[in-house]
Amino acid sequence: MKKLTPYLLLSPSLIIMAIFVGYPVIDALRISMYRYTFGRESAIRWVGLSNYIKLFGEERFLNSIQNTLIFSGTSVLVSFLFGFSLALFFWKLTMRHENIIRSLLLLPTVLTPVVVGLIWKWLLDPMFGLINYLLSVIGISGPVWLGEPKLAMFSVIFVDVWQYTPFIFLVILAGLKSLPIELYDAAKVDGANWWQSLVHLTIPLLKPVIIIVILLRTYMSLRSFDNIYVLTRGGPGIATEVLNMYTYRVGFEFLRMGDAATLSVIVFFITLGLSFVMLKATPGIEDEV
Amino acid sequence: MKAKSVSICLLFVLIMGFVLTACTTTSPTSDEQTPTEALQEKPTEEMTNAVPETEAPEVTEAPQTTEASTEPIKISVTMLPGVLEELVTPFLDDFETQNNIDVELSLLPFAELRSKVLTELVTGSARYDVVLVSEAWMGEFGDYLEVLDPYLQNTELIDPDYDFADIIPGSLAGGSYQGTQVGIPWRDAARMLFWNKKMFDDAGISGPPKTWQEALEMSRALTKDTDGDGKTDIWGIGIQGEAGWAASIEFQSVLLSWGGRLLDENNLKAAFNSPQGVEALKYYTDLVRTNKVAPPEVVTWNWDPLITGLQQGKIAMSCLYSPYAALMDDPEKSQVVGQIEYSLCPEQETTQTIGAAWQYSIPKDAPNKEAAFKFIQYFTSKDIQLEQTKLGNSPVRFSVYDNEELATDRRDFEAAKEALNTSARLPAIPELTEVMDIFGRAVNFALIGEKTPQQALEDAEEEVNSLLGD
Repeated sequence: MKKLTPYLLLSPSLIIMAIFVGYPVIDALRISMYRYTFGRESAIRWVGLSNYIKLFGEERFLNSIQNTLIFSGTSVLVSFLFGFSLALFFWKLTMRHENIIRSLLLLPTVLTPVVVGLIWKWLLDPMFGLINYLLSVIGISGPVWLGEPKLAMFSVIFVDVWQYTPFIFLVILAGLKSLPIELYDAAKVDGANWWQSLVHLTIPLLKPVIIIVILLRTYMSLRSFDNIYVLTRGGPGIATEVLNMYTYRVGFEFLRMGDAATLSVIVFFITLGLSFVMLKATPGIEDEV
Repeated sequence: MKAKSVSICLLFVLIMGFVLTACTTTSPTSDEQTPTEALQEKPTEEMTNAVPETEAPEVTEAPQTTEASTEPIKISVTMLPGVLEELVTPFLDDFETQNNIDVELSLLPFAELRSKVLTELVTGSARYDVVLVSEAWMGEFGDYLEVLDPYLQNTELIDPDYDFADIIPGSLAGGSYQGTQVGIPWRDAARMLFWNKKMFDDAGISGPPKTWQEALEMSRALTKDTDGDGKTDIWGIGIQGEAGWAASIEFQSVLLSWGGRLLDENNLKAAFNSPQGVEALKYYTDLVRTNKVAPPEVVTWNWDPLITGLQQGKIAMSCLYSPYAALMDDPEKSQVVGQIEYSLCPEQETTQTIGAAWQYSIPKDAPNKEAAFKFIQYFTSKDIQLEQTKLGNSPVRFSVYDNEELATDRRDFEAAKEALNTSARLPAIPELTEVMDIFGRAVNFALIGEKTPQQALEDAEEEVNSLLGD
């Protein structure tokens, strides 16, 4: 009985998880085996794995995978570098109104992605937007930010970085504030310079926090949909169409539920694989977090 | 370690439990309904013609009439919040007391309307009595909608003053599905040319352009750098080139005027990759790329920035849906009040453009079909259409467009009536949304220079044919 107690205590949350997470995941797996267009229920038929095979021959799908990798990879990396540097900068800084400045810095992260998308869409607008107006004041003719494939990708990554850098900043700063001062004093006594204490003390000590924050950010950016949808709707052409947006299109616009389920399953496994790799790549993380 | 594996096992068992129950209850298997059965459910032309004119449709009439004197019948109507809702609510009281019917408006935002209503229709929930259907969804909804021809021929039900023939045939065509009438148009739009007369006058041109060639020449004269900074400030023409629906719907109108079409007559194959199609797309992309009479950012534009461009006097002309005319003379948003005139879109072969209406339909599973029909009849009647037009609706009846009282301050009416009357309609096929997406992307690819017009249309043709042939 004593052995069973923890499981009994866990069971309510496990049951809820099973209903709201387990069941949808498994059902998506099942639907992905069917040719199924919503509204044409009479034409449903079992097709096995052919949805998956078909998908990997699709140019638009491969394009969305590539876009997702470029978007997520760049956005996570850049926002991490910015966020980390900002946190280091604010770590030991004491100044007046520190709290107010910190709260202001957090503003982008607190905003809804749709709102962020709308704000930037307006700012980046070539005809009515502020950015190209300011550029024209100093004599530069601004480009059509969201109208050229490469620039559009740059712009959506930029907006994503702008929005989520503060998130990383906040988490890292909290981590930094919890580090023991004595270690740094000891390092100073031993003659370590700023760089040495960063590389040999701060980063190793912060490793669990860094990994968690990168993982969270990766999930977030893999899930990105709303701000890209508002900014470019995946355009021009399909230059910024990430996997999630393509899935949304196939499911909710084209109503091809079988294919949409297939895509969701793929997103699911990509995310799962990524976290697995990241957790494995850092020995000891299981004990630390 | 042991505890870990035990907990994983437990979770697995739980999940499997759910899977097994799920599979037994809702599994959509192919043998539940054979294709032939599904076919039989579809309304065919023969079936409608076979219904005698006087025979009342199968409705829940008996219990209604006995209770009518005391308890009102409740009907549920889907409606878009905002503009469309405001066109209906002022008349609800009048309708309810006249007919002893209680109307419940189910407000659904545009993004949800389609999926929510389709879900209710597919599951046969009998949730709604009247549904508001955009023509673009007719192919998806059609099988689940009541055929209305018997109702329209039922002399006991139809108001003698209804005057069905007064409804513009182009608008009615949008409510037809496989040869039967499943929707009655309520609010209709066709594309027509919005042109800024003042800007034309200032440039010394007498508009409007009659052909696309004229439109290009006039655009050249209208495109100007007004402050001399080397940047164009006023553009001759605006288009909506955003990948997807926006580019698809507009370029389809251009294609029509060139004598081309989206799909073949039976809607089985792509027809846009024709010499006319390539020529039209070349003209369209050249407006932006070589002739530079349209701003480069139109590749990201849908109708919203286009409307703003016209309102701010940055765009001299554009083909837009007729109801947007109301936005041009709104002094709060527009700097061109009284300057915009309206005419038919330029022609190459024809002036035909795409029209699209909000249609009222009755689901096959509606609980109160007769009351639902009364609702539709009331809101598409001559009088109410006239009153709603005064509130800003885009009517579907000739008599409203010809009304002298309105004609004086509606400069757009003459062109709008003509555009609607000659309008072509989107094909009512279930794959329409995806076909439009493929086509719209092809147009956008050509606009951003990623593909030549020829290549873009060829690739899209292949995609559309493989989708429709599936």
